[in-house]
Amino acid sequence: MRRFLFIFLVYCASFKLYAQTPAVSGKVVDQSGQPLVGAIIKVTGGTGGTSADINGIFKLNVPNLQAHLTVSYVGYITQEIALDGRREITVTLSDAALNLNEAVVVAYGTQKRTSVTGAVGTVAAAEIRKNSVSDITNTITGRTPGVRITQLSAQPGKFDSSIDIRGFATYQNDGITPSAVGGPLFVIDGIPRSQADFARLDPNEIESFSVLKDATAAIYGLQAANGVILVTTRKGAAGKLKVDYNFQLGVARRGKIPQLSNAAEYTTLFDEKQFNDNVSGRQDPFTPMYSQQQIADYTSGKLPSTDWTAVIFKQQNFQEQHSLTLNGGSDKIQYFTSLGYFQEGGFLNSNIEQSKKYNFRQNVTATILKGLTLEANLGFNDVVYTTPNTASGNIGALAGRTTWRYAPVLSPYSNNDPNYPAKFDPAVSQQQNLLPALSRDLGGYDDNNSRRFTSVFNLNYVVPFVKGLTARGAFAYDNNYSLDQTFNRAFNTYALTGGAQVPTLNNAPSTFTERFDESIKNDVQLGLNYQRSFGKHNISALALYESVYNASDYTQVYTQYALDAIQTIDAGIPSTVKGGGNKGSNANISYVGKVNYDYAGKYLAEGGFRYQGSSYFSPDHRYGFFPYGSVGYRISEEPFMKSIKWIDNLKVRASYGKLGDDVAAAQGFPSFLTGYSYPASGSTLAPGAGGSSIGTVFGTGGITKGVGFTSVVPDLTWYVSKTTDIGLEASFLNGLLTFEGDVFRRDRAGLLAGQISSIPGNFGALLPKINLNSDRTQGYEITLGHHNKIGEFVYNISANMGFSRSQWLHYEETAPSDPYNNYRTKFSGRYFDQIFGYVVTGQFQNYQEIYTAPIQDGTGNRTILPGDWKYEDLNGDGIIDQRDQKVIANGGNRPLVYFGTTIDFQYKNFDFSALIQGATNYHITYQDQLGRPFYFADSNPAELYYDRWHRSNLFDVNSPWIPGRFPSTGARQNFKDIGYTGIGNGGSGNAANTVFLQYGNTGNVFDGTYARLKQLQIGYTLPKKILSRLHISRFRVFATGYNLYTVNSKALNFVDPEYTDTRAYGYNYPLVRNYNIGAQLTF
Amino acid sequence: MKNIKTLILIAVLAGSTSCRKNMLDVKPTNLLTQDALFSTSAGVDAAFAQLYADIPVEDYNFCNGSFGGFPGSGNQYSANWGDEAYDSSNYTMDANVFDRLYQSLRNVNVVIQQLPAYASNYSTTQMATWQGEARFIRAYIYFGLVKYYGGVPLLTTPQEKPTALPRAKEVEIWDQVKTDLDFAAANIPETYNIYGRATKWAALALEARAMLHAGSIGLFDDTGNLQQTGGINGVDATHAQTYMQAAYDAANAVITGNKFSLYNKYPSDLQKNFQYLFYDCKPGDVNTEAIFAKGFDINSTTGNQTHSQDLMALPVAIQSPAGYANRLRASMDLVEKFQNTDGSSVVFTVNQDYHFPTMSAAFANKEARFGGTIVAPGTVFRVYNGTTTPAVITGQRGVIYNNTTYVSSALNQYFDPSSKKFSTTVSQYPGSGNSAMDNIPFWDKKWIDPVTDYSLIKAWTSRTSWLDLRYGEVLLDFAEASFELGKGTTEAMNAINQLHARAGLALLTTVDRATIRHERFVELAYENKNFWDYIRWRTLTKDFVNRQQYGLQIYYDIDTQDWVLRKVPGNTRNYQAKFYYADIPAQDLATDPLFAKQPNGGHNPGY
Repeated sequence: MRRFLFIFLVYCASFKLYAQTPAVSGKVVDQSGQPLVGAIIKVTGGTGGTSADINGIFKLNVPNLQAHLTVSYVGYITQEIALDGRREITVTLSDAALNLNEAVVVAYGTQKRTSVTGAVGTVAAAEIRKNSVSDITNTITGRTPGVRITQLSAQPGKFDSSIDIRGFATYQNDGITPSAVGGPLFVIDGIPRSQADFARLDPNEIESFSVLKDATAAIYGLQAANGVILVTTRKGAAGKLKVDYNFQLGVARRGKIPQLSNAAEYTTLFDEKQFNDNVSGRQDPFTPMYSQQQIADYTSGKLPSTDWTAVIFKQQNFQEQHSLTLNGGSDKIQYFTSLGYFQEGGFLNSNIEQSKKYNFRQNVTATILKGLTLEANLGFNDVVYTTPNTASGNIGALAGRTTWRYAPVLSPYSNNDPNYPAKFDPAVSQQQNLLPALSRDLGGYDDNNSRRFTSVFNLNYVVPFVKGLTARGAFAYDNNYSLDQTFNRAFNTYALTGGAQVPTLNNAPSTFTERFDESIKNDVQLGLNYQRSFGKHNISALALYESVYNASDYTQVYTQYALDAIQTIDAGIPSTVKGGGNKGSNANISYVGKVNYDYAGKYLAEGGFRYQGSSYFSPDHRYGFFPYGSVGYRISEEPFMKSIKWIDNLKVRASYGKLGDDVAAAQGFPSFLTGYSYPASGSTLAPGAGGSSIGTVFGTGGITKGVGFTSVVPDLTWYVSKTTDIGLEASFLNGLLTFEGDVFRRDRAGLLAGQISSIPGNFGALLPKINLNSDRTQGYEITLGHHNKIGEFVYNISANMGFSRSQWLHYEETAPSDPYNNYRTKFSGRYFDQIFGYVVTGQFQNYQEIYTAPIQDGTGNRTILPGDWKYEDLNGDGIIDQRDQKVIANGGNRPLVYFGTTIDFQYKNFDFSALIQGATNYHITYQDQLGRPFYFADSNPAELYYDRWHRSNLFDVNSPWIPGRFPSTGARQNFKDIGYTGIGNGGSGNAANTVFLQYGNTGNVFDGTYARLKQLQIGYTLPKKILSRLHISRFRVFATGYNLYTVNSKALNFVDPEYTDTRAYGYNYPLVRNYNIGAQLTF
Repeated sequence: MKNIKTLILIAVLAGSTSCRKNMLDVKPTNLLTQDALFSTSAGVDAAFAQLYADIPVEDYNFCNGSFGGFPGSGNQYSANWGDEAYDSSNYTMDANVFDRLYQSLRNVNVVIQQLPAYASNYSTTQMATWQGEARFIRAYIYFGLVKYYGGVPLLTTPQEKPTALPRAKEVEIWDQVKTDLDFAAANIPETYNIYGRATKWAALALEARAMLHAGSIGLFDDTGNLQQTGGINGVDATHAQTYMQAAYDAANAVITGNKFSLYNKYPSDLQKNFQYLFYDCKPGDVNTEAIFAKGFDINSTTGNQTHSQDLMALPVAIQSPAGYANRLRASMDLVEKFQNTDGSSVVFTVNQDYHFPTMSAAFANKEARFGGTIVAPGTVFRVYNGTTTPAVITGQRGVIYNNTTYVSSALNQYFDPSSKKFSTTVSQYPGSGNSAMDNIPFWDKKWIDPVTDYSLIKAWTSRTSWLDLRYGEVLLDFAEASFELGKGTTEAMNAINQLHARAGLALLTTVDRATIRHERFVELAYENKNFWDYIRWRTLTKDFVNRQQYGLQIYYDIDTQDWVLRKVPGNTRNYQAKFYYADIPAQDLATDPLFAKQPNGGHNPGY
């Protein structure tokens, strides 16, 4: 590190200084007169700039003394000062909470907050830097309305979060691993990039974060229908080299996972289940699995109970974060350099699980010639992580599903000898003991290294002779590659038989898979900007050409081992070496235009379009035209309003536009070309199965690969969405109160669907999907702010909430066969989030009640026991069946309402900030073994289920019942308790396979509302007097925490509420709660 | 200076636009043109590889009425639909089968239609062979359709655009099956013999199977479907005779062709001989009985073209470390169908105790096919736990002590008479077995890989092949067709006696309909044929009216120091006449308006 610094300093020193003309000096202070260290001073419209020193003092060469200076500081309102011949000035910046003139990053430029006419959300870079998790997506959570973020797991190296804007993503829910099909578009430094690129950024390299939520996003064309997230990285400022060093050290604690039964509870519940199965099933009585004595011994602790979650999971781990940034330059060349390092461990009880992230960035701005500047942004990051290998290769499944099927009566080790991992008794568990799989030595590993390089080169030229015209050319080149090596090592588990440890081989044979992925992107942009004022008329315009090319490929090699000590492909058994690989590319070309007009900052208008072609479509349907327009009216600027002193700002704005999305075609490419796919991806009669046929065994040469008989969809084209937004912005009493509100609607047409209502099955083609379905998403957002200063106590409170709900307008489906069918299965016109289920009216108190109740088990209620749920017979036919289901709640993929509140205050040298975030209007039900004890015969029930109806004497079937919260364990005929998620809103298009979400019954549907203290930070900045002697300009120490405290419905105490239904099973890697201490140093 | 700037701009502009003119014409990396596919024999083979993959062979992956599924959640193999296996699942067809078969049908029709345009690239024999194979494939698909649904829309060319078609009469479909198979048998040369692909003999053997099915419906259907549906379901008497004769002729052609004989590789161990008949049918194996086999990828290490039979069906005692096991267990009904070698039958009285000195003694005298098909309790099967000792599989449920029955709740227990408790403490009184303690101590052995170490068995790792058409079945088809055509009993008896001889079972001296049918149950157990026999004989509604299935309980009797076997009742099963056909899926009824104009609104009878 020291060596690097040295080289870098030499590098900085080598920048040439140019001869300069008149110098201006001055001081930058805040409203209380405190110097603003590092404030940036630039010549307006020019390229040079400097920053204020430790005392807030600056010196700057200006072209002449009539120039204007722009003075900015993070968190303060940027000011433009006319020199008017002065050589010395003092600039007082006011705090950003009142920031009506704050510059907001919008599409292809920046704009004053007051003149923005679209719905644009922002998060200050300072907020993002409060980050204490590796994925910065999670630091945006709750900070701006309409941006809905869910952390799906805290697995190191996975960056496992999902993000959507106003519910504008399409999710396909296939159970445990939902896939987002088309989320927001990420534009980093003007170039479309991926969510992965965003998630891995170091917070210290971010300058700004904005979100285009409405039709104004149309200017980005592709995928912009789901909103656009704009991120810019930091630029250098002229002046003395400024070095910032931050570090954080902390403890990460494991988030919530279900508390499972101990051996005493488990054996009791298990025996009860056996008795109840017998009673319900009218079978012969038999000896229960666990005797009265055994249960007593488990209760007294004489027999051991294994807490498997404690065996498989750690309670905590450590994390470490360092960041070094260098910033400086001359008026001709400015540089920003940053280095970041983030290291964290995982929660599996494994010696190898960890992730390291390295970030590097070098942004340079240089004036090459008069009027010609070059900006080069180079970024690189490397994420290196290791997870243990498991049989399924799915840590999440191990973390949840599998561990929860390990009964507490099973010991981790045979005969309690740690050298011999136990083979489970098949009578107790059908699972493999995967404890050895957590160890690199026994079970192998999954090592992943993924590197991302991004670059943008911008050339700006101020065109002479035409005032206000600049030309711009940009070229971007990105290259990502990752190497994944998975070693599955066969291991033994043991059972003590006749005094000897008899081994059983698991996960055999040992295998090794190496996969290399590479992708490149290049992007060329050529454009013209025009900006000029004519009196009170301000005009700016933009014309742009952009072409983007993406290509990716992968290769994968697999082998089995006879001798697995060396893990290379060469060391494998030659006959087992198999390879695979594929490649693909896509491209698009766009022409963009945009005009902004405002009259005296009062009447505002913006209009623009993107005309874009995508390689995913046939030449005839290749191009789409996406126009938008927006208007704004600042009533507060009217003369009659000026007299109302308590109104600072009052603006109404509206936008409308047509946006496109090619994600549908990307899935079906090359659907418009005639031909046969080779090799075929599967078989008609075995679609998607694990053993799917890719051909047939002919002769003795193994498989002959087949061809796919594809169907042609020449007309496939864009999704088209029409987005409307109306907003109101207001600020009162000098920013004491601020308000911003939006209502929005997006209608989307052309969603892919199978043409089921028009094509008979006998046609025999693969029911090509075409643009058929339509949906609507609408909602509102509100942000309220309060900013005040009482003496030296300055505080800010901002609360926001967003509501968004989606429904089908048209859903291609076959006609319902009867009115009930119409109610139960028709999608058209329905909200995505409706959940059907039975209505529970209580629990059966005795057999008398059971026998007189409507039949719910299909066998005369013979299998029903006291304590079981009693369902309402909605249609009164004496039978509880599917026709007694109704809409009982709303759930599905996401809560309808997300909210967040940030609280910041500052008192002298102390600062404090907190973020409270949550969601509501959402219900959840847990599935499989979380939804019902012994859903799998070998699962260990969540401890919650111990509060159940049971007989006072377990071993006496005739003893009286004792009530509890849940029904007693054991099988009944026709269970009506477990929910399942149907198609969600993915629109698979085959109505025969689709059902509405069904969540069992009202008895196991839980309110998913939660609120949590997402982020808390307390800091102290050391007084300058002490620091100046140490040549340190700023030194702040802080403590920060993430996910500190959660309030949620008691019934929902199973898993972390943030999972929502996209990980409904809870079969998931836990979330994280962390505590960090750190320091920020500026030299 | 200004020039330089202008030059830079021009260079950037020119460079970036000129090379990007055609950038939107991205070529896909996985698409073959029609010419590329059909003008080389490798391409045609690739087309056939897909067609063969999509013929509805009811192999290991056929369960719950669906092709290609993973039967992990239960015991839905079709053996469980009838009385071969002990389970309560009833017959169901997955609704998607209809559309998928029509997709397969379209594909084969495309090949039949397109191939002739490339005739100049190939020899006449080659073209005839391919057309023959394509017809075999189409016949297989139609056989599947007509078997599940009765009369369906008849198409022999791919539709240009989606068109509603009415359901054809059932006999029109059977006629198409016959026509296609006759064409295949006539056009595929006798010398053409590639593993996994149809031969002349495969076409004839399939014709015997299909025509026997069609003929039987005509002879035995008493549901009135034929009249009620105007022929959409059912076969009339005239056609029945034609089909029976066709079955007879096709089977006879295979027999007199003299290319096949019953597998007899291990004459000194008839049990092993019968077991290995279903293992020695992999590519490269010499199996004199195999006419058409579906190969699974014996070299696969990546899960393509594999199945999960071993994972599913092994007894718990030797189950895979990945779990599962026990999904295919024989009912007592099937066990009792296997006779002793002298031809006698042993049928236990329900709930009566039978004492035997060893657990396996009760089954010791059974004919070879019993031990070749079923793992019986007390017998050894495969090596176990990394040792070289084959495992004895036991299904003991508990003990009888002082005339009281004690049932254990865990595997591998011993009984302590003093405390009357089960425990793991080793004693002279075995308390429970190492596999299953319920009422079903029999496991499927046919089709189970006898070689691969059980620790290597996981989901989708089994690669044993599926013997779809074999000479043994042809003999049975021949015997039945001959008998039903009224050609006397000698031909039928001689055919069946070949199977008896191979099984070490006393030869028959006479046959009747019952003996012929009985022979099919024991010879073809677990080959996914028996249930369809119930269907075509129309005996499903007669044999499954409150039909009680039976299991067997095994106890160690401490009083008499021997083993007690007790036959016990299990599931009850009922089938109604509507189960002779699956209904046309709702989606297909809704999308083809012509169906609604047909009898019963296009539904099959009873729906």
